[in-house]
Amino acid sequence: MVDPRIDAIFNPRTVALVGASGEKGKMGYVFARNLASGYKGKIFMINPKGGEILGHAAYKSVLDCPDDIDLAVIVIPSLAVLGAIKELVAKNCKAAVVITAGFSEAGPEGKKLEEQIMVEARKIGMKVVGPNCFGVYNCNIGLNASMGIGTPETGGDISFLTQSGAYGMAIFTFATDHSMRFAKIMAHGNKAGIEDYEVLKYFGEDADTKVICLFLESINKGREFFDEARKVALTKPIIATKTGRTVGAVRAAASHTAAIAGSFTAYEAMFKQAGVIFARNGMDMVNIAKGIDWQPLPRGKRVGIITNSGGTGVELTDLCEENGLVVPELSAETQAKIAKLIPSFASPRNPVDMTTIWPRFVELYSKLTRILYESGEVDIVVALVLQRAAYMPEVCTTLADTVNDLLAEGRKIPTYVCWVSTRNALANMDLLQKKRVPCFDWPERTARAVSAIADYADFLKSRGVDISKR
Amino acid sequence: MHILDGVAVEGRKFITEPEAKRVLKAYGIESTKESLCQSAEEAVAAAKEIGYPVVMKLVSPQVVHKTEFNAVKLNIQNESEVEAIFNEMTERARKSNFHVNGILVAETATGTEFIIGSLRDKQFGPLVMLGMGGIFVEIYKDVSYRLAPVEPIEVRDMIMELKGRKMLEGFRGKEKVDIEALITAVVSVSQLLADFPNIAEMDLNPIFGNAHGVKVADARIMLA
Repeated sequence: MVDPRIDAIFNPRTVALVGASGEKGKMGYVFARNLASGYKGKIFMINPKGGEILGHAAYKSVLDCPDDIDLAVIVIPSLAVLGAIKELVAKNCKAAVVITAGFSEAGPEGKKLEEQIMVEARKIGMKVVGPNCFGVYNCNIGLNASMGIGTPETGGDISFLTQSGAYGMAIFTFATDHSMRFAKIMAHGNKAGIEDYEVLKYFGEDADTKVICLFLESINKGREFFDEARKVALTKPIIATKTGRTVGAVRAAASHTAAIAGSFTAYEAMFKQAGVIFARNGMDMVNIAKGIDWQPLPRGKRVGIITNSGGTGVELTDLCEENGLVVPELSAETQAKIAKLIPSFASPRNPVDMTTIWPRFVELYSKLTRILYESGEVDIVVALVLQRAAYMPEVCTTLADTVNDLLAEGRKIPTYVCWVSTRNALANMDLLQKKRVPCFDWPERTARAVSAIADYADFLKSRGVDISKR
Repeated sequence: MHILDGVAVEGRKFITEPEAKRVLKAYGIESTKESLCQSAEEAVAAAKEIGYPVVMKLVSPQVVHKTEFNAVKLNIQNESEVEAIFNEMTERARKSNFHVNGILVAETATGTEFIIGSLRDKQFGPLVMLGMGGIFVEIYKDVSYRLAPVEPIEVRDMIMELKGRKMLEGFRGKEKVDIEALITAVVSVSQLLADFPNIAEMDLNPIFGNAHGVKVADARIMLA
């Protein structure tokens, strides 16, 4: 059973927007529009002038609302927040998202105000997200209680907790740009009233969440987080980015979201021990999440590479092996099968290099992928789609269909694409990614994402977890 | 644990080597054979009992970093060396007005050197560290950390992280290390760290591992 107080944040029956505005350009308008655009529950606009905002009746105070309030979203100036919280406590509201900045991140005065807010909230056990945060989403019910623009697509199963608001949203939009879909997103800013491990626990128990992403500047309640993470990681992948690893970054973080970054040595040890996948940066996090969300987990670390460029294939091989993966030479039997298909001057050894015979790209990417799957000699296939191959939509479509056919046949081998092309071929990347074949830019990012995924699968196996269905 | 309590009562932060080794023994962690001696005669008898070559160390609550005070002598071969070193060390310590608990005469351990240490983190509490000893830890920082207490499988992961792990398998004719004994030692140390939050710092360095097990040759514990 999920924590009902956190569930009130993601699945509220009613939402009150404190500071709603009908005036374009105001923060209260952005939130009113976002809420009104997709969320199907009851919305109460709160504005001292009353009236109507975007077709919803506006109330002068939360106390005037004709129904209980599950979730309050607060966008009023910092000095007015305490008063609003007191009213919400009187109304027995379940949870509040405080978007407003100017609290502990701003200095001692703000810190005091933040503490006062929490004293009030704790009186009824009201959960507080923020203050100084970007907001929350539940994409699958159309809830956008954030500064972000637009209503996200439904049908996602990645949930994302981010301490940074704007960067978190940049990561989210970058990911959706790459055809990824999310379930729930929370930006918890100063995290005065909600702990990282509570959200992690919620995501762990949430039926809509299959993959968990964390973008953190610090972790409070480290031991509780560790205990929760090591449980959850066995059933759902947790991909975490932890910033503030260096002295310079810690200084920036301290003045940024009031986070005091701990020693990274301890974080690194904790992630490894709990089976949390550590991503060095936001983009790696997105790539790893995509690879795990769309493809089965690899059974081992042997990589078969298909390429139309010898040079890129060799670079990818280096980077794979430097990251702990293995690019084995294929057996004589498999090489013989491949040699029959490719030109005499091409290489069947692995990387399998078809060379630049572009008229046969459609056929070869597909057939070579199948041969590698059926060989039993590799655990992972990486198809390097470079330049001319990337310009050919039929190559991308056929490859995506082949991979999905092979997976439908029950073969638990993941395929990832290492994408190397120019901007004008990006639409073709969608042809692969819309069919859940992950594309990673260039060999370096590919090797990092693939090795992180393989390491996670390895961790699960070492802990006796059956990955035959994953 | 009486020893830790006693030290705390005396208002000391630093636990002497023989005390530290008794603490370790209570957790089943073996140390080199040794004897704390008050006279040159006692030292000679102890060396004979332990077997040459021996190691001699000054034990004083004021000497935290023994090598800096030149308070460790290795490879001592006979009675006359034992006597001379005993007298020289005690004399030098007294000149510095250090309290002398005695001179430790210890077995010369052999095998691959390791270090087991600790770190106390504000967010995550105690961590245990395992590293390859000697220059590996000093120059290459070939170490691995985990939150304490650890399970045996986690120590296996730690060993896999060490660049010097090949040394455990008997690299270039060197004796193999009893890996199970090493794992047990790390697990036990991590339990000790988890049980005693007042241990601020701990250094078991060096630890010698060979086919027969692992032995702590020197130990240092600081209380919070």
